[in-house]
Amino acid sequence: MNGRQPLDYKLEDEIIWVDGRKDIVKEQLREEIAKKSRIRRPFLNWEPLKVSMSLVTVALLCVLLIGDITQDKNGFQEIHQAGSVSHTWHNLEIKPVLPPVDVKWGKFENFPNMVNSYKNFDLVESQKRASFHIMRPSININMPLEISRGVIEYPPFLTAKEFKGPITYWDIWHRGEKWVYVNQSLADNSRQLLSKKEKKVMAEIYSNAQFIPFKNKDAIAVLTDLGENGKRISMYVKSNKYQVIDFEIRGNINEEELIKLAKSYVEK
Amino acid sequence: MESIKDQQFFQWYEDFSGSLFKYIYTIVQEPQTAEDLMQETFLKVYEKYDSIHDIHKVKNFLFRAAHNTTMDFFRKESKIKKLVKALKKENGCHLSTEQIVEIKEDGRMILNALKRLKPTQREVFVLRKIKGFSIKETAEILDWTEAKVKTTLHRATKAIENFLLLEDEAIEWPSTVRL
Repeated sequence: MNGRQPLDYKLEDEIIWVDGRKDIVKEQLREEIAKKSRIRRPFLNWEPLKVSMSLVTVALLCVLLIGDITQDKNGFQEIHQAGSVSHTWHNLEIKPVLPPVDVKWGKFENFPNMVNSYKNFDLVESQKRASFHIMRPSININMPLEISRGVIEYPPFLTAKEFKGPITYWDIWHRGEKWVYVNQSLADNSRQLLSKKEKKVMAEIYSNAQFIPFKNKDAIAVLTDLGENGKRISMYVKSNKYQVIDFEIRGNINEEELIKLAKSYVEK
Repeated sequence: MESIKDQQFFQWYEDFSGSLFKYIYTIVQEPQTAEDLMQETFLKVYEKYDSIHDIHKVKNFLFRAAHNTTMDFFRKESKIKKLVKALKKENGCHLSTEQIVEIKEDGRMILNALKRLKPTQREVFVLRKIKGFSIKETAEILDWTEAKVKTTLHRATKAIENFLLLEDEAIEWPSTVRL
């Protein structure tokens, strides 16, 4: 038996719709269609009614469009007055509340939409478009502040806890003045960016972690002390039923400031 | 006399009803329900006839309509399941599996294996592996991303393989050795 495709086209021959049933259902279908045709109201085809209905629809669309434009304009003014930058990243609106002293945002708008990137990932094209390059993540990062994000897409109907299969995930950093990212698979047969030794060290780092309580129940966060490398907050924010956005903030800054920064991304 | 629309529509019925019935049957596993849902699917397609622009994609359109109808059924089913079943028993119109479908031995094994899957896994497996739709077509029918189709199919295939391996083991080894 072919282990990969054991059942190809087999069911077609093994399950037989009994002779005669097809014609019976066909007749029932004919009756239903005839019944529906009789019920159909002739006045719906009346020309003046059609025209007036079209006019009402157009008027409604105009009202909605004007409302939308006005709302957009107001939104822009609010952001402009606040003097901050707003980025929308796959359903999660990111608005840094703290003055971005340590964070220098790159040309983020050039980065292709996360979902589209996931669907039609083309490394060379993505690099060209966004001027990114893949960097090897290192656990020995000693820098003032680093933020990374990624999207983890789980198979449907499984929680992250239940899922034990391969996960493809994005990991994105803001380093210096550049955005950098990797697309990494956890499948056994895939090339791993982290060696076994590095993974072990990473696991040890996580052992001194503590949870940060959030009001937002769709987000969890863990604070880890990295010793001389500062502190790290790992956050998982559920953006829709099947996706989790993975944040990571590292920094050699005060623990409270780091937590405050993390909260500013999650709690509005 | 039949209109061109009706002629075309019933030609589709002739061409695809068998395949659609088997598809829905593998998902819902009840022959009477499968027939009802197939009929409902064709009625929906009849109503949407004017919106079918690409005649070469009718098969995909039909399977997409069948998928939507089946999913709607699952959503409603839990609420009215008991009532409908009770009514069917009372008025005696409930047909047995044998009166609607004949299932050969291999078919039973496949259906048993499919029962182990979640409805969505079952659906993606049937579309891809049994009906032979491509990844792209399956994604269009289910309105999923291709990545999601691949992942779900991978897990479904694994589950089926595990089940079939267990079945094989059960046949190869006497129960005393297994204990």
